[in-house]
Amino acid sequence: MGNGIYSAVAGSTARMKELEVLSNNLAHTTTPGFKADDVRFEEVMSGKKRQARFVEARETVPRMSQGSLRKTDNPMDVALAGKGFLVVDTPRGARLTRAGRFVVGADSILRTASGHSVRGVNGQPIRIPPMNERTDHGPIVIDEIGQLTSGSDMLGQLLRVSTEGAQVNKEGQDLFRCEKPVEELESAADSRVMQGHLEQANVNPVTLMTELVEVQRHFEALQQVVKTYRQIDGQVARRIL
Amino acid sequence: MFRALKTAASGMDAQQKQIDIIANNLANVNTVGFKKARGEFQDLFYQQLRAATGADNNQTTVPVGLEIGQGVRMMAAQKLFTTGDMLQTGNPLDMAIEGDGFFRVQMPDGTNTYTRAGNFKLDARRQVVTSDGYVVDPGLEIPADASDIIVSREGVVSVRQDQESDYAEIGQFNLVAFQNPAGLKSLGRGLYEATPASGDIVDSEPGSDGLGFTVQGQLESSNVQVVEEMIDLISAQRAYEVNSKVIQASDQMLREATNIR
Repeated sequence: MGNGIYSAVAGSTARMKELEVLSNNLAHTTTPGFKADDVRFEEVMSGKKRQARFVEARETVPRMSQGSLRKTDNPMDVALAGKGFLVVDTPRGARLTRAGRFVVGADSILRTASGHSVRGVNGQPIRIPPMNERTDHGPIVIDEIGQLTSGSDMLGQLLRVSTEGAQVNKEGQDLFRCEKPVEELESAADSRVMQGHLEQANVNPVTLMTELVEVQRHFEALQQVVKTYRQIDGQVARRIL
Repeated sequence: MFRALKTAASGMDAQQKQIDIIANNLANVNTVGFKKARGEFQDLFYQQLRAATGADNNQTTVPVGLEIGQGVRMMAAQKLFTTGDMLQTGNPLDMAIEGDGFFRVQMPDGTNTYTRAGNFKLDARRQVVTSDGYVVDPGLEIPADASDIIVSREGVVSVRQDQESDYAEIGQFNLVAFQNPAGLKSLGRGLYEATPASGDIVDSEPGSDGLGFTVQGQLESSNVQVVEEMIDLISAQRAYEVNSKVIQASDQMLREATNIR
């Protein structure tokens, strides 16, 4: 029996994995700060003469393009226009995020919706004092380099970092991690903090639906290949026996 | 394959909850003091089929792994305490809060709840009560012969009795603010209950300590923006649809694979 049937099966398996990634992207069309994943395929060869060729889904890479910004008017919503991430502290260590839907916790610490504290430029969490402890009792204002002020009080500054092209991996709960050291962003030149906005998912349902059709049709074609091999093998077996 | 089915199902489930939240926001578009909620979506954990940076068979490092997401969940419905539009009513017992803060309400069981719905009334004992009959802290009694009631921006209540030209102070409304109002528990009927998550309470006279002012003769309408909710409704419905398409595609692919034999 030829190797072709195994190539077709490997192709089907790879397409099934792609479908799983696509379905996750499509489940997140309304998740703020979500980045779509791309699957990368790779050719694998085996056999002594390297005659058998297979395809394998090798990698998923988050597509780091900017999502559109949506105005929410909630003063604790923060979006990044441009590159980079905000840093939060989790029990597993520092993690990166672009989903800036923050709340002030009962302990006055600025936290993400999942309860992780948001890190300031001094490496410490940012404390938002209750309104009666603020000098002018003013509202919280966040400027484009992430400085939080209330009237004349300086409350802290959001830490923004750039991964400088290093690979980031997803961890769920809006979090990313980067194994390489990250670089602190200081200016607002290529990463602006936008108060009262949220970054929408960079998922385009139209392109994803066409990809979904493509995956399904290609899978069908590969199944046809498997069927054809089965017919050929069946005919061969009947004629010989 | 079954992962794709479950992932798409999680998407449909989360969008269903989103539509539930939008429906409640829209149903309360004319409810005095209502605060809209917002569904918070979040990605679930990623299954690592091939971990990044680990060594490959050939001892080369893998810069990028193969991680497959497990779908989405509705993590929270966050209440947004932005101020609603002010409606002029002219009713002396209608009260709005201009800025942050809540009125404190005494429940029959002795506990306190908090509200921004200032459509107050008088009960049989001429006490100031909410429209459900709960006493508004501090339980002011308006004298039966009072011809006029004035509430100042600082919450001081004065009344003028018949044949008397001077106003006499009879009490004071205090306001209460929370460090994290999103952590309050909604009891319905415009009432909220403090929780450990709502944090420190600021309890003071209106206009001090960053609290808002009381405005007599006005009501705060809900902060629901119909157009925004309609847009959210459209996107939730479409997102529900694409997730159902994924389920159909997965189903057809499974059938295709089953038909080989």
